[in-house]
Order: sequence, then C-alpha cells, then structure tokens
Amino acid sequence: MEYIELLAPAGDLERLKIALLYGADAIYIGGEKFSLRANAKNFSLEDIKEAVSYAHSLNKKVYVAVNILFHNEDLEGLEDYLIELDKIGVDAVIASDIVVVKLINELNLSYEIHVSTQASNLNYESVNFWKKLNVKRVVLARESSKENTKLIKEKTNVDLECFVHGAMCTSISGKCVLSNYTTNRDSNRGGCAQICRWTFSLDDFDKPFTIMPKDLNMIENIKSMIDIGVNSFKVEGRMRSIYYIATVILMYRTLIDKILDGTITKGYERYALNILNRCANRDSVSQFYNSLPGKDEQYFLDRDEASNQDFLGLVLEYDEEKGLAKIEQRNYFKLGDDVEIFGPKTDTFSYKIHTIYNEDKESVDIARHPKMVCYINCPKKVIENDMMRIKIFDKNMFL
Amino acid sequence: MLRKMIRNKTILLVSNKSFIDNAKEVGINTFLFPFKGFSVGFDETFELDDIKEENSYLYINRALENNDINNLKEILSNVKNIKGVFFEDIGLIPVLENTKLEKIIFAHHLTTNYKSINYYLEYVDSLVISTDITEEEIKEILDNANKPLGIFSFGMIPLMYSRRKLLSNFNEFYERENKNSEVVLEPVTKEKFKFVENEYGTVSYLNKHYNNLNFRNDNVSFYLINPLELNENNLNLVFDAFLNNKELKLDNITLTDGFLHKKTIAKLPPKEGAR
Repeated sequence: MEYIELLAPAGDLERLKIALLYGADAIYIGGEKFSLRANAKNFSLEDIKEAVSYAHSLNKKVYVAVNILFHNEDLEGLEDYLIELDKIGVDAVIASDIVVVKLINELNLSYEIHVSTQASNLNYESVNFWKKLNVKRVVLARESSKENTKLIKEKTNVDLECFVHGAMCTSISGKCVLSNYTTNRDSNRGGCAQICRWTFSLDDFDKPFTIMPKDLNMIENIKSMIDIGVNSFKVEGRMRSIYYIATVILMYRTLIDKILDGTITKGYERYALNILNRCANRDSVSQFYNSLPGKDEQYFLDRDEASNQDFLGLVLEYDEEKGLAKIEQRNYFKLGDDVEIFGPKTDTFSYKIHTIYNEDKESVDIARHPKMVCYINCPKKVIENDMMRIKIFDKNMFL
Repeated sequence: MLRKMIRNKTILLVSNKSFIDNAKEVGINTFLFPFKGFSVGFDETFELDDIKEENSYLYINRALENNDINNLKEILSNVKNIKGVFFEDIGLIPVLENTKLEKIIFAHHLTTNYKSINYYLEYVDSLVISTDITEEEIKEILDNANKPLGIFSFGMIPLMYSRRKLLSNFNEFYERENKNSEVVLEPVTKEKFKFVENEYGTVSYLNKHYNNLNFRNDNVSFYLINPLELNENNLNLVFDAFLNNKELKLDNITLTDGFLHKKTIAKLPPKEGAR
C-alpha cells in the first residue's frame, strides 16, 4: 500500500506538539514571512528549528508554507529564506508561485516541493507540469471529485494531498481577490478578510444574499480516498485552537487506523461526525467529492458563530493514589458538571465532577479563572495533555 | 503613426458580437473570443464556427478537469481559424505544445512579479500582467521581463471564481425565480459586485470598470480591452479615449483605477495599545 499520512495544521509550537501527540504524521506551518496566514502568530526560524527537532524526534515531518503569490518587493529575501529552511532540515516547502518551485530547483535544496491548493490543480496535465519541475506532491483543488482525483493519480503517479476537514473557500483557492477590493487586504499574500462569509443585499429581496459554504468533512469517504491513491489527508486550520486540533486529529487518526485494520463501522463514523461538527460549531459535508454541491452545502440564513465553550481543561498530571487529576482550566466548570476526558492514548470516558481543589488545595465550587490550575476527582488514569470537555454525547448511542 | 501602432497592438475581448464592427471602424482587428463550453463569466460565448475574423484568439478561463483537458486536446489539434489561446489553467501548456497556436497566459491574479513571469515565459509566448498590482510594479515587470507582455487596459475584473452555482443555489433555497446574473451590495463598504453564473460556476466582478487606458510602454506587446457591460455608445467613448489618449468619462458606468496607485496589504499593523 502507498504511503498514507495524516497532516495537521499548527499555528504555533503548542499546537504543533498537540497535533503530533494526538496522532498526526506530519505538520504544516507558516513562517513569519511568505505564508498565507500573515496575521497568525507564525513561526520564527528559531521556532521552525525547534519544531523540526521535536517532530523528527518522533519520526514525523514538518512542511513549511511559502505559499503566497509574490509581488516584486516580496522577492527580496526569498532565496535566503529557502536556504535557511534547508539548513534547518524541514521536510518540504509548500509553494503556490512558480518562482518558489524554480528557485528550490536552481539552488538544489534538499527538501521536497509540494504545490499548494492555491495553484488550483484539477487535471493531470497541470499536475504533470509540476512533476517535471521535481514537485513531489500536489495538493489538489478542493473542487476535485472522486473520479477526477482517481484519474489524476493514475496518469501522474504524483503524491496527492487532499483536504479532508475544515473550512472551505467559496472561490476556487487562488482565484479570489474579494478581500483586496473590499478591505485592501490581499488574499493571495496572507491578508484574506473572508469576505465570502459576509452578507450582501439585493435590491429586490429582503433576505441577505450569502455565498458561504459549510465546512468540509470526509469522514465517510476516507476509505474511498485511500483506495484511489490519495497519500496525505490534510486538516485545515493553522489558526484553530488546541482543542479543535486535538479533537479533529484524534478522530481522523482513529478512523484511518480502523480503516486500515478493517474495524471501521458506520456507527463510529456517525459518532465521529457528531463530535467534529460540535467542536467546529458549523455543519460539515463532503462538498465536491461525490457530486457538485448545491444549496444544502451552503448557509443562507444569518448565523451566529459563537465560539465553542466545550473545552474545559488540559490535563497536567494525575495522582493515582488520590484519584485526582491536575487540570489547567480553559473554560468555566463547576461541581456537578458531567464531563469527559479524551486523549491520544486515553479511551474517552465520562463522569461527574464532585471535587474541585484550587492550587492551594482549598475546596472550591467553581473553576472560574482562565488557566487556573486545579485538582478534580477523576476515576481513571489520565496523562499529561489529555483534554477535558463537557460531556457531549454518550458514545454508546452510536456504537 | 503612433495611433496605428496602438491599434495594431489592441485586442478586443468580444463580449458582444456586434462590437466587432465598432472595433473595425477604429482600426482594431484582433479579437479574443470566450470559448463556449470552456469559459465562465460571460453571457455571450462562441463556438469555433462562430469565429470568422482573421486575427482571432480563444479565451479559456474556467477550471479544467481531466475530461475537459481530453476534449481540448482533440479540439485544439484540429483548429484552423484561430491564431492562439489565452488561458488560465497551466494544464493547457502541454496541450498547446503540440499545436502551432500561440500560448498566452491570462490569469488576473497569477502574474504579479517579474521572476515568476519570466519563468512562465519559458513555456508560453506571452502573458497578461496582473491587475492586482500598482503601476510602478507593472513598469518594473515590463522593464525586467524577457519578452514583451500584455496589459489589461480596460474592463470589469473578475474578483472571485467559484465552481458552485451561487445564484442558483440561493434562488433555489428561497424558491425565487432564477437569474444567471445579479448585482449585490456589500452594506458596510458599499461596494457592489456583479455575479454571473453558468453551468461551470459563478464569477463575481467588481461592479466598476478598471481603467488603465492611458498606460503606454514600449515593452507592451498588446493592450486588452474588455467591453463587458458596456453599451455601444460607451464602447465608442472607450475607443476614443484609448486611441487618442484622452480622459475617459462614461454614461452610468463607475470607473476605478484598481490598485494602480494603491498597494494592497497583507499583514495588518499592530493595534494601538497592543502589547
């Protein structure tokens, strides 16, 4: 079987470590320059060095996005940056602009070249064009159907990477400058203001005109994607929280492993879908994979996107003798709450909180302060970096 | 003499077949036809049999899947009445290599720096410089390009291209009569956008016309005019302004110079008072 990889986003070192712990095989990040999330915290060269060292210690990989479309002035420093990334030992650079691909070739740098979804590749001839430039992997446009993807693989034998989860653009990636003309923020250089999520008005209709798509999820299609030869399953969201990343990566890791060992069930897929939709606060669908999306794959009524408050705390330690978990609070919780704990090596379990101590070991009713350290009763062993959330569903309903 | 040179370097994108005669009257004889079945964002598109002009090019601007590439391989290997193809999808580069057709990249948002342009010029005969950049950036590109390039001189700029049928989906949801084009208003910035849909997707245009008609440079190989949404009177005013290097004023049309004199930003400045 071909190489299969679960690829996670990471906006900073904490997210990177969580993603790798929760089961990603590789991470993609952006540097402080040349990446399409210009307003995220991003990674300095020192951070990238640390990220690569950590990932390689786990036998995992780091890809760096150098994926803007360059203006003349942006070219300054590009060569030096690409050379620095080579010295650090990153595993690949993700590029949209031909100048990056060509320079990597001319400079004879050792990492792989991956071409971004921003290059809008939807056919085998464009993929072969890049292949001739020593591109090892192409991230297909999200508009590629199952049959289209299968044929691209057959005719090119290039590694294919496809998005499986997360936010969608309304536009074909790389072909949108709505943000440029509405806010002066350049969507192809990292400043996108997501105008496709705004509402517009029509002269002759009282409802807002919207073009916002639902999110993508490919839970029910992972096996099919493996069968047609997709190599890397990419989760969107370099600016997402550690809770989102942990939840999504763990779900897809479990799905992929269950598919590969033949134990996947429809019940587990349904459970995964419910967990994932809840943590993103948006509906998600398979979009273009099986057919052209219609009205059911978009939002039309005004939506309030309240941030998800399910994530309650991060496990720091566990005292087996006392049955107490040391938790760093991430959202308000109190005595009597039904919670569940999950982790990369911890089967999800749920229980009721009946004891909370603050850091001074004083009994309290509520953990109300952001990032306060507290101790709570916990009936099973948990480990550092496990996460606690509101009990959402009873897993047994689905399995 | 200069006017004749300019005319010889001008290409009219044919959004309305009747405009061909207007163009010929002022000495413009080169035309770019949105190719039926392979273009988006146009109400009027053309099959090969519709194209009778001697200096004609095809415009292929939609996302091409495998089947489309296979169809185009057959069509373009047999075409007789076309000089070349303007295209967005680089998958057409190898397709056109096996033909005698001129290859010209026309991707509004891709051709934004001179190094990338020179790399693309290793594979194509020319390309149209992006409309997302300033006049200074355009000049710098022209000074550093290895071949003469095209300039988008006038017309509506496509801001977004979705594979979804955004108008149909909206109208179906609200059980409204469907239209294939619609003007919408963004209420905060007051910008208007025109959405145009066909079976291959939806293009959103800025509801203003980009005006760079007075730009001239020795390294320009052609000037492209897109008369989409113009009436005949306005088209003639555009030709007059262009050929005589005059200021342009149109009836009921808002003009914009886009980013010719204003840079876009990518990284937001830090907020005041932020630590």
